[in-house]
Amino acid sequence: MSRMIVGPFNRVEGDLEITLDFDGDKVRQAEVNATLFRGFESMLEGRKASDVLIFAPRICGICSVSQSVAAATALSQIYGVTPTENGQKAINLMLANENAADLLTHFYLFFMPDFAREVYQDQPWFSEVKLRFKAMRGRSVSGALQARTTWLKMMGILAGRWPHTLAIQPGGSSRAIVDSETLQLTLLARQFRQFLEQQMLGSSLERFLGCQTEAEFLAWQSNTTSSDFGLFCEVARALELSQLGCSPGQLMSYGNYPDMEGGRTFASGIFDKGGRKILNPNLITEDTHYAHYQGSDILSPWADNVAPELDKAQAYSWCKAPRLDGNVMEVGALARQVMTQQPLINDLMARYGSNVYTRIVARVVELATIVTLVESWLETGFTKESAFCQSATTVACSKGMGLIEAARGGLGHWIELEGDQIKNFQVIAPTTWNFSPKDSRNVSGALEQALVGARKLPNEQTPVSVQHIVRSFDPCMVCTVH
Amino acid sequence: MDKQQLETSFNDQAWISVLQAVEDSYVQSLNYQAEIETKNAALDQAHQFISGVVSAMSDVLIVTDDALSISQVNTAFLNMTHYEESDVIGKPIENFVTIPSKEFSNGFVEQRLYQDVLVDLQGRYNTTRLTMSCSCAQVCSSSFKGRVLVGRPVSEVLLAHEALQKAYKELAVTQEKMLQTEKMASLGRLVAGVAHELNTPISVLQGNLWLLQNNLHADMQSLIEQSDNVDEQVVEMVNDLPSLLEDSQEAAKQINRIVKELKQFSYQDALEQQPFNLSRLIEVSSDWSIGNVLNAQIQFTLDVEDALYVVGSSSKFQQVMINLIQNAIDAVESLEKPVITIKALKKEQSITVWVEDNGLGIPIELMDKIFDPFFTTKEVGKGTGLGLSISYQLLKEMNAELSVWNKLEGGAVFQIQLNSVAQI
Amino acid sequence: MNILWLQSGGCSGCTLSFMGLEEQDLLSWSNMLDLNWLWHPSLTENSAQETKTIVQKVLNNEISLDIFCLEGSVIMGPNGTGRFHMLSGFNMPAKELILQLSQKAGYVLAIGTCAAYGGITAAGNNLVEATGLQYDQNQFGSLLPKHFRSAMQLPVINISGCPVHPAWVAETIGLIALNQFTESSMDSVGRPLFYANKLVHHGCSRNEYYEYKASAQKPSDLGCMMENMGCVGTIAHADCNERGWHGNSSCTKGGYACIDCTSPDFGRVKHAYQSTPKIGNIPVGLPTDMPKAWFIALSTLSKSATPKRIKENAVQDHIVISPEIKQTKR
Repeated sequence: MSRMIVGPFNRVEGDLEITLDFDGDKVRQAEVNATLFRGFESMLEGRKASDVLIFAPRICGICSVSQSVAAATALSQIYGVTPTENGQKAINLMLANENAADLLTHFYLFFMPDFAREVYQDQPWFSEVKLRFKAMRGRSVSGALQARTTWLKMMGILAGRWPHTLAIQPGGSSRAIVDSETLQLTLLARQFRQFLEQQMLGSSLERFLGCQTEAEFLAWQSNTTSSDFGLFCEVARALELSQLGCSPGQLMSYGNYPDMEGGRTFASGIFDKGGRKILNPNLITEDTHYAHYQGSDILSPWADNVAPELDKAQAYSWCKAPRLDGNVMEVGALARQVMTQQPLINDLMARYGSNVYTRIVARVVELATIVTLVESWLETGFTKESAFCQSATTVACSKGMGLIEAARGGLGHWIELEGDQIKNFQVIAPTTWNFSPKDSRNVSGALEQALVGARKLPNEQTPVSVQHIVRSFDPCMVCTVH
Repeated sequence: MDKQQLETSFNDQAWISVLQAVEDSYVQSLNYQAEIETKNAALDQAHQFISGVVSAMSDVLIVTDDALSISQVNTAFLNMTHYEESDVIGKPIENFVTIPSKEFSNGFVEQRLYQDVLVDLQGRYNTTRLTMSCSCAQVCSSSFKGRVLVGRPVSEVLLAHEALQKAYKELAVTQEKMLQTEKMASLGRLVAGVAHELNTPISVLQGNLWLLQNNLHADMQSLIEQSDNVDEQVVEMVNDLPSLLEDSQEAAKQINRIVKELKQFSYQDALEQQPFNLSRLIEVSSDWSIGNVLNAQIQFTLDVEDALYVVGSSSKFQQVMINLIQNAIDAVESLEKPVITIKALKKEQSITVWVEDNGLGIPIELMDKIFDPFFTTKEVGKGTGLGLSISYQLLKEMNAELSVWNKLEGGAVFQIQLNSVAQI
Repeated sequence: MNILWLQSGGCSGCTLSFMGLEEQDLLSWSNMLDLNWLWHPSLTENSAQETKTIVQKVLNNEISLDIFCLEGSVIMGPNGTGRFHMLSGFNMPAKELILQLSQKAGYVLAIGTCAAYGGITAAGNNLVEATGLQYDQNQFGSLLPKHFRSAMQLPVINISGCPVHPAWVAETIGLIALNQFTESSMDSVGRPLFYANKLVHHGCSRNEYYEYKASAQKPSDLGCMMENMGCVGTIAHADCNERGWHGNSSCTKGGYACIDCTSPDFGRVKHAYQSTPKIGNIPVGLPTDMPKAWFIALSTLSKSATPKRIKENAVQDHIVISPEIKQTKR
């Protein structure tokens, strides 16, 4: 048996270290460590409730808007208001814009460059991958950055700036949109669609999203081999990515993009071997047994206000271990698309379960879906009758809970007030779920389980297979510990 | 601009209004100044008050700067050490405060935060033992980076007091826990007792009302008919009698109903243990409840697996279902697009039933209280506040669990988890 | 030029903002300036052992380090040990490596308010003892002492902002690459003057409402946000409204207050951010270089002269009264 400590990881957001125990060339056990603690949750104690909107987005510069939406949702319960119809639509557009930008960034900047490493130089697809995806040099990376910048101009119109906007309020959005701006937004969405269709997919979004089964998807691939995603599909087949990084596949989604009928455009719920189930958020707990916090308790987020303890004997991470009714959950685009019963992802999930391949395909499917959603929202536009924001000033309830989806998965804020001041603020971020350490029953988190069985090549110091698996979750360590 | 227009925009009236505005803003500025002066005076007073408190404090107070030199001490310090202020200001703190404990051998003040450490305070002539707490000035989140140390002479009383305090805290925690578990049970017993006591007076009341209703009116009527000289008022009263009595009877019935519910709340009788078809029962209960609703707009969906069999009391289960559905109806009644969904699903050895609505949900701070007896969010007179607590109790007796949460999409979900699945 | 970018106690927001560079995409821009990225947490390929090797070579003077960027605050806690952020793979507190790299670098850049002054990470009870590289809030001297000078004889360059504007970073690095950045390019708290000698107020699209003190009352109102909504654009140093974000936008254009995110005390202000603290009726935090009495006199006066159009539009989320059209006689 040998042990290897891997870190720092590049192209994951924030600082990550993984301890791997090998049996021969295979990982027997993995311990995932988030190494940075910032103390966000106690920072807000005693501040006015509305200040959450300043601090929450700054937990994470990647899913900053998602943090704002979670905080504003919790505040809307506290103030007893709901966003106006126009306000909700504007918020959905911001959230969709950020999620799509994140999904794009992940594919081009974080995930694909690993296949342009020298270790793959004998592969037939290597020269093409290197040309397109080599870190800091790839042609497609450059193009993706341009497309991202243009797409983010939507944030200029909707949110003033990104990251860290204050436009998202409990009563709606602070930025009213006029017709000419709806037009600008529509054109920006079309530019983005153009990039996806010409560069990333090599087909219309509709044709791609029309694939209902793996067979149809394979047929689609044979016509789009020259696209960036087509190239990924080739690599995925060659390296059998569907056998890499398999997790238990217990998926959870809070659902995303509230509509005016009281539903969410992407459905909420949990998925395991028994099928889809309704989600009871009251069953969410955090376990601190292996984390650097005082005690070894299993706490509800409402009660969870534990002080750090550096020298705790068994602790190995700053990440707490969130569990739903005691169970490990995996969150992210795969969970969202499975819960919302996207036909292709349903089919792939049934065949392969959760692994590197299905996680990436689900992200690209979601990216395409989001663009079509944004276009449809802009087509109906904003109403003349509804304001963009209503004021929220008097506290109606001392507690609020905001559960929404960032690109990386479910994000939750729990806020409790005393008078009009914050008494307790708790966050459970997507990667807190995915990269959780073991819990008091010694059950490992999703990534820790997915890493078991990964192989290292001879003489490898930082196994590339481990890197693929880690990045397939699109981790964000700065959110994870906050 | 032609001459006429020029005149209208520059007439005397316009200039007077400008001057008036200047005058007003001057007056307003004066008001602002007065206000600021008042605030200043208040600030001054507050400052004096605080320095008064500091010097009147019986605890020793030492403030240091970042380099751990003393920057301020209070009167208690000076009295205890017999130093003058000028003797101590600017001197390193370790000249005056030392720690006997080995734990802090490398200077306890450098440790940023601690509480109740035993220290020795070196005076000009004597040494005093204190318990001292040090807080870091970062707590105030200002740029001041020194330490604030507060000490108090140790005495036996103090130690005893601490022990007592600790014991008290522990006791309070235990008590809280006990209270929580006992609450439901004891309330149940109390309620049942009261209900039982009420039974007799209510039967008397109802019996008497019945008698009056059946006999009195007819008797009075015939009496009036027989005599010629009856007061108009009496006649009116007699005519009103039937409706008055009917109202009273209604009220008595209502009391009776409440009492019955109360008794059920702590129903301890032997349980019926019959297998029954849960799917069928849910259908019947929902038909029955929906039939009684005025708002025909409610979109009602049943998503129940066929032939789910459970062991228990079907009548009690029915009562629970009707209660939950009624609650859901109340929650969505005033909505534009009311939706109620009932789902039931079997998985392995348990069956789960969900009753979902799309109302406003339950305010999170009330979530813990919702199964308490007499807790209601409905208007006075609309609910007894017993429905949910009875349901909770009944299900518990069937070894089933009732829980509630708010859906992420909005609205509440009541979930029944049944473990007594029948083997058919 | 060799450039190395490290993250510590922050949110990655500055990196994400920087990636949205608009003039050119980031890669093309880097190539144009001949930047050689030794390591950037989101951009470069190397991980783990490869990274450690590079860092070791820099520390052994085998590779020269021209520009060292730190994003995020320096974490000093607990008790000055820095153990709240152990750098992964290195088994040492991040603050140690930050210190060592700063001593090797030609220029040291603090990217964002956290790295410059402590920022949001140092807010509230500051459990982790977060601080800026050479400043703690506005106090000079922190991890790097007051007298610290990089190899090119400059103190830390504080590109503050939460997040930074991509062009602020790009232009600072550009000036360095062209050897045009000197001590006189910085203000008294280390910020590049090209954006820090402007105010957010300059070019604010709400200036007509400001002139008449026609004030917004709730989020989304069109009026000036200084009186009620907590906007401090008149004293905040940055060129946001002149330069524009994501094309031509800004916080105030987004309908919310400027909260002075480039300032050394950002995150450590005690009042609630989204409402204006007042003494009596007078907002605290008036323009710093104008006599208060004059400000009050002028603003009360202009309030009484406010045209109906401006007064009414100020409390709406869209224009309800259009400006009058001038009638010229034929």
